[in-house]
This record gives sequence, structure tokens and C-alpha cells, in this order.
Amino acid sequence: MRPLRPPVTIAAAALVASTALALAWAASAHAADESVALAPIVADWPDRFAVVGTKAEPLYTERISFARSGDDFTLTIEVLSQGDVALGTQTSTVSVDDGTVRWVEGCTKTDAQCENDTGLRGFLTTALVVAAQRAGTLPASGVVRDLHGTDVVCIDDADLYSAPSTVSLHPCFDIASGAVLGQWSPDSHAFVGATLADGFHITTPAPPLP
Amino acid sequence: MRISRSLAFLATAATAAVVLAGCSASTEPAASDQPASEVITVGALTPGNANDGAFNQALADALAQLEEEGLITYELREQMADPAESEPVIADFASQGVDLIIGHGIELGDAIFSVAEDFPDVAFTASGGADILEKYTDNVETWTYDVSQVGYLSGYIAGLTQLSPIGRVESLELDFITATDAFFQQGVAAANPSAELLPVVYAGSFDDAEAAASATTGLIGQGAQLVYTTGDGIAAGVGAAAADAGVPTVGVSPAAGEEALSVNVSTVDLDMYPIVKAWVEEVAAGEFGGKGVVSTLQNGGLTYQEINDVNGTIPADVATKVEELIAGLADGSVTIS
Repeated sequence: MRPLRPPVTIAAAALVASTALALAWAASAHAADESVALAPIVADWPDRFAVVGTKAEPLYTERISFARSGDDFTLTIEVLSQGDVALGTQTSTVSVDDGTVRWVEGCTKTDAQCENDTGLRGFLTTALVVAAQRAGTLPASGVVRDLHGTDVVCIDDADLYSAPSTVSLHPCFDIASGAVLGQWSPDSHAFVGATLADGFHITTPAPPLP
Repeated sequence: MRISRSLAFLATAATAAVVLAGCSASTEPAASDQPASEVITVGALTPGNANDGAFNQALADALAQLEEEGLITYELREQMADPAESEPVIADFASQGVDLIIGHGIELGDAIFSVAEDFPDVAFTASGGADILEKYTDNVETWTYDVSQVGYLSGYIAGLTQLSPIGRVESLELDFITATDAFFQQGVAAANPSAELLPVVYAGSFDDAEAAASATTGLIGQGAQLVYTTGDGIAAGVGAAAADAGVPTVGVSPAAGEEALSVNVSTVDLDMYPIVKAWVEEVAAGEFGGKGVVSTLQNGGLTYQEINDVNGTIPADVATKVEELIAGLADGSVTIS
């Protein structure tokens, strides 16, 4: 049984407090692939984080950055390959409003879904979990996994979404910050799809001192 | 992160210098089977991880093969997307006398050109789009790949399967995606003029695999017998939904996972070996610089993943016909416009 580890990069200001958090996690004695209660993990998530990472495809790379600022969640994905500028950019912003997720920018769904997206996927899924926490519908547990040396908790999509998924992909959240770092495929037994490559950077603010 | 496959080449060079200094009066040739001067030292930088099974690994694999062939020693620095990090590394390579410095990815272009001005005797390469081909200098060769061939070959393979109608699921309606799709359509028509193409469905996202899976299921419901996608985060959804329905795909990338790949016929891929080898040979011959190079199917810089017959669903002659296409492109009997 190994102790949980802190994320790849933590802002210097948060180092001491984060070390304390890491020790607390170690004391909780969870192990990879072990089911853990979600409520205490989500309750400890800071209300701010920023993530910068990449994802590579055969012919190009994507530069992915996303952040949480209170109830607002933003995502930018740039496709880098040909030319001096990005081939294309996806910009998405959602906001948690009480127990719902509302799109602010970049919604490509129906009007009703843009006002209350219960099927939010990808790197902004943290917003859905925060909304579920506030609505009292947070799934009871998740599974701890190791993604590029960072402990993440993966939530079964059947527990998170009211409508059945066409493809089973479990979103995986950095335990320390709540940032979505990857998607776990129970069929492929691997992180697939919208999963950050090794080398991502997570910045979180220092939590308040006890 | 730093990868040095077999040795720190600079340390080796230093050792060799010491040995040679100790024998400076000797006129005996080096004991090595191959004169040390023919082994080119390479410093390479990638924006991401060299084990990504994708764009970055294409360069890493080429370097490893060339080293195994005894043509180079190299050092590869990963995660060099930030110019503030990459430029000092490039300058360090150059100041230490590396023969060839490769910047793999457009994030590295500015830093390469900047450092190259100060080291006219060092060979550099920079990559980008078609516009970079004219930006070469005496010591910087530029590189890109032929995006039209990527779309065309994908469509050609899809057409050769004889499966119809063909569905397409893409992320966002962006210029490069619609441009690639236009060549995809040409490829399909060339291989199977009677194939029907269903309208493209956009998932509206690069990271929502469920939206892509839902789109795929919808297309299959409309009768699609094969689904094409371009590689990105949504391919996991396209592949999984198609696999669930037993419908073949084209274009799903390895990052989509084993389940998604189980029904993927093939995906166009990058092979940096012939390109890097040519650069190395030019450096060795003192003929480097002053041109741009394009990875194509003809020169082997573009390739395709081994044809998956999807449990006998796909005709056995697909690979043969793809090779005939490549031969036709090489001899000029086939053109893409």
C-alpha cells in the first residue's frame, strides 16, 4: 500500500500547506485502485486551480489549459501543427449556479442543455461534480488511480450522469485540486481520449491555515 | 526531461578529443570501424513527451533507429514547448558543438531561428506549416508535412473497404478540418466512386468523447457502414461506439484505447526516419541548408498504420492498392489537387 502523492507542480506559496495535505493523505492509507469516499475529497478541493498541459496526436499536438476560479470554469484547447498560429482553438466556459452547470461561452448543445448541462464531459467536468456536491447528489465513491505519478480519483460515469453513456469513460480528478486530468476506460483498462500527457502543471493556491 | 539513448554524446566527444590529443603525433587512423567524424551528433527538442505514441514519438523513434544504425549519437529534450525553456537548451547544444539541432514542432520555430543566427556553422531544422518552407536559411532547413495527402489517403483507405455509406465525425468546424475533409472526399471517390458520404457531424468539442460517441451511434443508425474521424480526444468516443456496433473506422489514433482500435482499419501516421536520415546525410556530406522539405507518402515521411482487416470485414487487397497509390504518386501517374 503506497501513500498518495501530491500533484506534479504546486505553487511555491502552497508548498508547506500542500505538504501537510500530502501527509494527511498518506495517513488516510488509500491505495491505487482502491475505492474511496468522494465527499471528503471534494470538500477539500480549493476553489481555484490552473492547469497547463498537452495531448499529442499522430500529426499534431494540443495545448490544453483550464482553470477554476470560484464557480467559474474555463477551458482552452489549441491545435498546434501547421502554420505560425494554432490551427484551431476551442474555448469553453461554464459556471456553477446553485446545483446546476450553465454554459457561459462555447456551448454547442441545445439551449436547454446550455442552461443546465447534466451531461458535461471532458476537462470541465469538475463543475458538474461541484454542482452535484451542492445539490446533494454527489456519488458516494470513486476509485484512486495513478496518472503519470499523480493521484487521481475516477468517478464511474454511471454514477455521475443521469442518462446512460454511449461510451463508458470515467472522468479522473486530481485529488488535491479537483482538476480533470484524464479519462479512464474500463473497457481498455487505460487512460484514453481527453487525457493529459505527462508533464502537465497544476497550480493551486495555499489553503487557509488551520 | 532528458533522454540520451546510449551515451552523453558530448562526453564521448570529449573523451575522443582527449584520446586524440594523447596521440596527436600519430598518423594512424582511428581504431574504430567507422571514423568518428561520420557519426553525427544530434540535439533534438520536442514540445511533448517522446513516449506519446504520436507526434513527438515519431522523432524519438527516428533518432533511436539512426543511432542503432551507427549514424548518430543524440540527446533528446522533451517538454520544450515553452520558448523560455527551449532557447537556452538550443543555444547550449549549439555552443557545445552539436552537428545538427532539430526543433520538432511549431512551438520551437522561433527559438531555432533565433539561435541559428549566432551559430552559422551548426545545422538546424525548424517545423511549421506550408509557409515555413520558404523560410529556410543557409543553416536552417525547414520541414512540414503534406496535409492534403493525409486527408486523401484516409479517404482512399475508407473507399477501398467498399463500405458505404461512410459517416464522418469531427470535433469543430474549423478550416483545417474542412480542408482535410475535402481531400478525404477526393480519396473516397478515387477508390470507390459509388460510395455514399453522409454529412459530417461535429461533436462541438475536442474533449467530449460522449458527444462523439453519440454522433457515431446516430450515423450508424442512419446506415453508416464505416466512420471516419481525425485523431483527437473525441476519437475514443467514435472508436468505442463503432466497436460496440461492430462498424469499422478510419482515423482513430492509438490514444483512443484498445477497444476503439479493435475496429480501426488504419490511420495515417508520421514517420520521421527518412526525413531525419536525409538531414544527417546532408550534414555528413557538408551539403546541409538552403531548402525546405515536405513529408509525403512518396518519400516515406507519411505512412499508415498496418491495415486491420477487422475480422475479415475488409478486403484483403487494401494494403496492396494503397501501395499502388503511393507508387503512382511517386511516378506522377497519380496527382492530388
